Amino acid sequence: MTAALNQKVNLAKEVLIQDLQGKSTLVHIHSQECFSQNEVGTHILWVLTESESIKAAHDTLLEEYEVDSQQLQQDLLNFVEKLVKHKLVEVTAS
Amino acid sequence: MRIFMVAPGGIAMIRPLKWALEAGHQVWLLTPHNPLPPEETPKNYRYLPFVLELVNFHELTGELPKDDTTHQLLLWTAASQLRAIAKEFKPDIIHVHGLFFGAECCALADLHPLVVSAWGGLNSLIETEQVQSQQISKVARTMFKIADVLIVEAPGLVEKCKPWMSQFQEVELIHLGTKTQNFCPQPAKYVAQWRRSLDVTEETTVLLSPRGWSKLYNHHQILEAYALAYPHFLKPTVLTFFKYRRTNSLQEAKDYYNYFYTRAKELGIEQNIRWLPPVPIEMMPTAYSVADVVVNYPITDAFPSSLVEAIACERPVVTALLPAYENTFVEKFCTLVEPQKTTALAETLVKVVNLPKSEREENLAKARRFIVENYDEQAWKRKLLKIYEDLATSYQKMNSSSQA
Repeated sequence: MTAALNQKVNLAKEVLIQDLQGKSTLVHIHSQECFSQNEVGTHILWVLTESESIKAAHDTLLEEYEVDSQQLQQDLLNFVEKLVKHKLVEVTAS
Repeated sequence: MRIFMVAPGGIAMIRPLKWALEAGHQVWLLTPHNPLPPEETPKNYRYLPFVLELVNFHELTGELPKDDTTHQLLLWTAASQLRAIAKEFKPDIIHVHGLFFGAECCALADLHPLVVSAWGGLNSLIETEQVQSQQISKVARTMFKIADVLIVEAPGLVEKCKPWMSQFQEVELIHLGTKTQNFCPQPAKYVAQWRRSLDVTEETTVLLSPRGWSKLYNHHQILEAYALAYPHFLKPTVLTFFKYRRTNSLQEAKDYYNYFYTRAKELGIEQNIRWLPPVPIEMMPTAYSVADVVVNYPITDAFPSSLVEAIACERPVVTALLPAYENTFVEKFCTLVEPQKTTALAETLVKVVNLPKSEREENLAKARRFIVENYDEQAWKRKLLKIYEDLATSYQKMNSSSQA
């Protein structure tokens, strides 16, 4: 699966998430697999799920971090693809 | 200080281990599986695989006969491993977590100063009026004779243990408490995601049995009580449990699940049962926060962290009143039901679930304050480290005076 910038990211329904002082732990309800995110990963995940599209998340994050726009775009798409692979998020047309 | 811990595994050992490491003590841990992942391994920690793992494996697979002679042979084998480790490490304290085979080995190896945590192994002392010696396990009787400090988790156990021990031994109450800064009501967006995962609507009342998936925790009786109560609930409800771990659970847990599921179907309430996967301890605050009512109904129990955690998360709790809970906050802040009475539990569930939310949750902020002041793990951590320090100092004094 290849994520596209105009897609919207939602947490998968089957995912349980816990915040722990900025870090997060996610467990898939069926596979019982457990994942941990550091503060940055957790923040990016929330920006992604609360934005209208991956592009909108990119724009928000670009204002927050001193980072090259192209690099951020690629990192975000890779991150979303990893999350999709583990069934932690779903992407839909925005 | 150098602390040598011996444990069969399990959550009860992990927090004292982390407390000792955080305080900068050198800790060597002998247990079947290393509880700390490589990224969490500090320099002052050393993990040692327990030879008993092999012993247990042989016992389980039936390759060794389960008779006294074999037991003694295994004891001697394991005790020699303990002696060799103690000779190399020269511990200031030996702490055994649980009344298990490893505790017997420590006794045989004559390791001191010895701290022993009972962790549920002495429930019979408070659950039986007049306890006879033969009702206490052999390991417990040995520990009563040789432990320098015996740690119990229920207030009622302190006085009950004293008659079995000498005046030179101490009994201390240590509950693990909880991290109250983590165990607190959780943000709405996380709770909403969990409710979405459980497929429950906003107006649904979620009842949660938070204990692990084991017959010990009497989930089947909660199911029966829920079925009796179900027609009397005024709003939709679901009853939620933590499922067994798929990868390494015993067949017993799977059989119990199959029995439970079949029974839920017979009772016609399988649509109202929800399953959470086993989650790491750091996720439990949201698990509690999802619950509108927490139900705890074991037949027998030590003093569990679950009740402390649920109250710290400001959740209403319905619980069996067991001897281990007497003279604690449970009597003040939880709704109590006589143990092993399905009808009584059903009636209580109806009463509590049908209360308006505001009334049901009225005293919970006050209850949380009590937990923060009295059950925060920092207080118990300080107490345990002080026990280590005092005991090590008194042994050092004793040794230097005997050498003089």
